[in-house]
Amino acid sequence: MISTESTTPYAAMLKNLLSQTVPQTPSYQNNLIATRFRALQQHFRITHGLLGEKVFFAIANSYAQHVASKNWDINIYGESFADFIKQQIHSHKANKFDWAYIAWVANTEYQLLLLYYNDSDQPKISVKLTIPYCLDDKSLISLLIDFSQQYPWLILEADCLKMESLNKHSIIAFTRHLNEYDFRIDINITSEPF
Amino acid sequence: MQRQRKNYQQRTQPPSSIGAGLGLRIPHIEYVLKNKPDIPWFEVHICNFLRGGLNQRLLKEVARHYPLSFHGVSLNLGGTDDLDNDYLQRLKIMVDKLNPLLISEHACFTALDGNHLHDLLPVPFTPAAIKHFCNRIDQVQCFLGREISIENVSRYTAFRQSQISEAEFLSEISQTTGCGILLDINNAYVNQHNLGESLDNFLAALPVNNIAEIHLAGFSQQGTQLIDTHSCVVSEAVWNSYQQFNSCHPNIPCLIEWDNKLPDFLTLQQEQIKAQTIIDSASKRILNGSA
Repeated sequence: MISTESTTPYAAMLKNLLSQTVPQTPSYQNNLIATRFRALQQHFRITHGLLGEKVFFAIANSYAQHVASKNWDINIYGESFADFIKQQIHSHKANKFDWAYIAWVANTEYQLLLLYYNDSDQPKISVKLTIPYCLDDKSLISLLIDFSQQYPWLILEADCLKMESLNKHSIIAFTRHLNEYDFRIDINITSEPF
Repeated sequence: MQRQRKNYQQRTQPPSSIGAGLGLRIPHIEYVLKNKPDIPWFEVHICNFLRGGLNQRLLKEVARHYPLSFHGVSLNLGGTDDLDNDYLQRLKIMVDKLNPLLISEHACFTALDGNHLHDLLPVPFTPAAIKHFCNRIDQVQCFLGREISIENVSRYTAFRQSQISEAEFLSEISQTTGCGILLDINNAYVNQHNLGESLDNFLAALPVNNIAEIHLAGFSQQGTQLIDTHSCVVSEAVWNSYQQFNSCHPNIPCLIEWDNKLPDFLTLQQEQIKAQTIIDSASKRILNGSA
């Protein structure tokens, strides 16, 4: 593509609008942040559930205010959100959550997002996901059900040492209605023995 | 004023009977594929379908059953960063694969200095802006090998730098590049309310023959301003303006947009039926008058 001069008076005018007029116009300023925030809500649904409304809002809103989007596609916004969450270990809520675990969930959600939009023509992608945390049975089952419900195009094959009693079929049932469109991502989840 | 069409492949000219379409949003795709509702055409926010994965597979399936229009929000025609090669190449692939009836974008900027704003920010209406838009629209049309249309955007502040009206701005760009105009009556209504710019004057000053499509949508009120939220039904005032405009120009395809607080598909379809009824009524009246 032909390069466009970014030093013309026209370009200077746009920079001036963005640095002065937009911040002074609430409708624009609110929308810039709200668009990024909505993307985070959409992309990190399980993380949102784990943190709860108030804490997620505070963290996501802060991220949206400070981290600009560097891609034309808002559908992949939030690349560093998991790292941002991990930093909360230094916050006044350091002991309120297992931040490393929540950051792992957020990173997993982002990786799923990239898989969803992958450019491959393959209708089926298999991924092995290892949960590197010692979760009790209840938490682990709850996490897998969350993945199934929030990502209905996933097929989870729970290969987990701690989950012998889990009814696998009840989880994969969520996915079947999408199979007719010939698209799925299989995730084989394994929990490391501790 | 008649636009000078370039040697790009013209869009597949929508037949005059194409009528009222609907903006198809991702949560409704499965319903559409299963129920095949009686909608003449759908418009999609093509930016959501340019990567691979399930979205693109679903869109290809929709395209087997319905004519499509591609509406973009990320081309950044008014911005000064280079046009995004990745975006354009992905768009061209989809255009070549699915051959949409129309391809449209916005008369605004959406990125600056590598930061993507994901909002439609207007530019001041100046000769320099016209030149800038024309240069970039030429590049895009040349690359795609297709004519595009550009949409008037909603505005929440007036720029003192503007030297001409929005209608003059759009007309000049359309005339120079051969691109179409996507007339969003809701945006023009919002601008009238927020900035005191006459909707009637705006419509009267546009070159009607260059209008490739009309958009209708709902707005919200925040304080004293109207915000183009696409979150509710089309207002009565906008329906009235559309009806009046359409009575003289019933052959321009019209589209209902609804993006936020998305209702069930049938609620959307009611809005589409309303638009189609207005088109049919005007067409009959014109036919009877000329018989």
